[in-house]
Amino acid sequence: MTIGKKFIVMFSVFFVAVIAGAFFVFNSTRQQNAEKNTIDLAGRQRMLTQKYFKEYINDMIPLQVRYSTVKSAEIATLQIVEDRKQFTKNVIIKLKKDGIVDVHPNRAYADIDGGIPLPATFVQEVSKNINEKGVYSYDLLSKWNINKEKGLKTDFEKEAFTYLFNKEGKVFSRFMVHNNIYSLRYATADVAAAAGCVSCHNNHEDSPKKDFKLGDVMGVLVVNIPIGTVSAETVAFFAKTNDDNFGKDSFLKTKKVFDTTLAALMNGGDAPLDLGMTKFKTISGLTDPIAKNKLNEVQGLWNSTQDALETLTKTTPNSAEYIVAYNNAYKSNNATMKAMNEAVGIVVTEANRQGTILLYIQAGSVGLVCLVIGLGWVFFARPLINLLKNLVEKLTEGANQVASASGQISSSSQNLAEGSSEQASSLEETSASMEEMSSMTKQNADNSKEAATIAAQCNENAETSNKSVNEMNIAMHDINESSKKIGNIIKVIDGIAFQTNLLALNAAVEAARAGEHGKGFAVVAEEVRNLAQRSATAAKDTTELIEDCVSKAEVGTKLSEECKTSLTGIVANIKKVTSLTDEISIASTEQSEGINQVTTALQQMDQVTQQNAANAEETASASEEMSAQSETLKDQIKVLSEQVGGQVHESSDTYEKSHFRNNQIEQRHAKNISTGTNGNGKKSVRHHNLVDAGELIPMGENSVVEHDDRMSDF
Amino acid sequence: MDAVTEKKNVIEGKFLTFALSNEEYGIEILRVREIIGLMDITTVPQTPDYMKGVINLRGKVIPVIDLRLKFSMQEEIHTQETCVIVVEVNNTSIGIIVDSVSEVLDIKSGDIEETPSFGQGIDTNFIMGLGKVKEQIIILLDIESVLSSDELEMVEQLVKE
Repeated sequence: MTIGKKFIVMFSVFFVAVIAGAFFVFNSTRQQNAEKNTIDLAGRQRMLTQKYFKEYINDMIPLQVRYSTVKSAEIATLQIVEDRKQFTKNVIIKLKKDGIVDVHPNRAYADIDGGIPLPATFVQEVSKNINEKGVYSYDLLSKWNINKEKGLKTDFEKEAFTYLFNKEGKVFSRFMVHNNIYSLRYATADVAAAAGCVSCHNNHEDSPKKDFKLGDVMGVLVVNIPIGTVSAETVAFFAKTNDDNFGKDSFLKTKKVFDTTLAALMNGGDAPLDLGMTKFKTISGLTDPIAKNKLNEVQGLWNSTQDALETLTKTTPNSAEYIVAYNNAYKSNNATMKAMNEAVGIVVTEANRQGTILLYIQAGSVGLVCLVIGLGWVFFARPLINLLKNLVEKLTEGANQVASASGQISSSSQNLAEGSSEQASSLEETSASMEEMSSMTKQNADNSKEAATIAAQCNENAETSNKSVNEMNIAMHDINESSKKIGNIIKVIDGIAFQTNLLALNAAVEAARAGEHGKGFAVVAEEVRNLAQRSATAAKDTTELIEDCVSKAEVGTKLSEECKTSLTGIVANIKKVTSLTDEISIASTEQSEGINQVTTALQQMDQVTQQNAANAEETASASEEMSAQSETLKDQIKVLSEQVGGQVHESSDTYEKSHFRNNQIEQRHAKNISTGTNGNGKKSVRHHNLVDAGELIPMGENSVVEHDDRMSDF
Repeated sequence: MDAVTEKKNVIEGKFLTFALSNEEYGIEILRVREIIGLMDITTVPQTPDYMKGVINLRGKVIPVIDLRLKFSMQEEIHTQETCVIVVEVNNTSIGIIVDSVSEVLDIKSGDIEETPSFGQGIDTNFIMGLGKVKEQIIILLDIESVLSSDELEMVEQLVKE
């Protein structure tokens, strides 16, 4: 199977495993997320119960405080009114009625003898003292105030007076800042309850209004109960005291969230994710019957808590029933929380159980994937790596060889370039030489032509000479012949002389024989012999001369022969010369042509050499490039070998990785496997997620924190 | 003129001088019959080298001896001057081939010296004496001793044939 197919198979198996695992993971994550949501929400319910209770109680505090304060104001008002009433009835009226003393109820009673304070003054003075103590203060104010200081000054006083005068209500109170203290100003109508009040006021000279009737509102009694220092918190605290809005911004919202969530948990639906109820999440209701029962229980307890709290609201604060109601509410809330906790516990347990199952499934899939990876490694990656290692080895070798070869090529092509350059210059020189040669050849040709001409002339001369020599030769030959003839003749004469000599000798012999008689004959013979001798001598001389002549003639002939030979030789030589000069001429022409051809060839060679030089330069640069490329290749191969974790055989020339380096590479490789970044990283991380998700407990709490009875942590 | 006394002593008279291998020899003129130029020689088989053959001289058959070969000299090619001297020995005519014939000289006894003994290839018996003529030495031959008796017999036989 090819690597590609192996890859495909590997990746399909892997892909399938991953998809299956992912599917599992996704599904289980979703499930667990949903459960987590459910658990979160369920857990939140706990928090919500606590929050609700706290908020309720929180919101009730102002109510309590208000109630208490109002109650105090009420008490103070009652007290003041009764006191004044008593003073008016039992003191002023009685004294006046009794007539014991001339009492003058006056404001400035201290200065008057028998002066007693007016009821209002009484009230004012008491109030002044009381006010000075600072626990609370009150003022008796009126629109028709006799005491100039006790008019309606502030808006509240005016409003209260208008309200109470118009009998819109019995009490006009407000929590506000008064004299830089946050207070409750509690205004009640100062009604003319006794006739004495009416008559007194009507008759008083300082009174602006003199037509009071019984039951009229004469002024207002404002009780100021201080509550606290002025601050934003206190202001905000009492801003919430509005019966209509009681809890609207706090526990009612919480209640709504709780109710919605509980409904969703029980029956499925949209559960609010945030307390502002802006984001919702659809959850399916709990299916476990035990959990459902529990939630029903929770619902019941929640309802009873609310009833208890309502009862508490309706109960008079600071009363025994109040405390009882509070306790009831507290207990009910706790029960609710406990039940909710139990529900959460049930859900969590269930979730854990399912989580464990899923964990097993995931472990199985992890194992499967690991198996796949292992198989993949063994059957695919390792052989591939080995293959790559081998390849890298071979490539390294090849790259090395290529590098060295390219180096060689580079150097040899540089040499070639140099050689070509030298060759080019040599060719230049040769070309120049050829030019010279060409001109020389031309000269040669011309010279040879001249020589040929001269040779031709010479030839003619030689021919002429030859002819002359021939004639001379013939003449000589004739001379020779003649001489020979003469010689022959002389020989004849010589022969004759010889014979004569012989004869003379014979004669002498005969004469000797003859003895005495022969003496005269002997003399004659002697004379004859002398003559013969002379003749012989002459003949000899002549012969010598002739011979000399002949020899000379022969010499001459020889010379002429030699001359002829020489001339012939000359002619032959001239012919040779002519032919040679012709040949020279032809040769020169050919040489000239040849030189032309050579020149042309040299030019071509020059071109070719220059091309060669350029090519060699190109080859050199290309081989340089190749060298660089082969270096790059070697680097790439190094990189590849590092990747492959190659332990290239150390017999290789240039691959000098140390063992340490190899170990490094192997360690890195091992690390890669363990961290699962070989494309399995996603998986391992997901596993983490899955494992964690199974153990997620919302709020990070495993236990229910029971609030102690003292509610000290509220 | 005593020609009898001693061979070595008085031998004055006329001598025919001839050259043979650059040396002059002389023969008594009385011994000489005739001098002829060289003519065709008819060779005779089974004869010694020096016996050249026979010639026909006016009807007469004369054996011819090459004196050069007789004297154990190198044979030379016969020239125009080569002659045959017909000598008479024991009434027999024999021709001897010589290089050339010079002249007839009359040599006084005073000019004749005794033959010294030397080894020149010539048995000194052949030589009668040495003649001095004009600074030149002529070897005077005794022709009879030159041609031995054996040879003379052979010669006679030849003649008879």
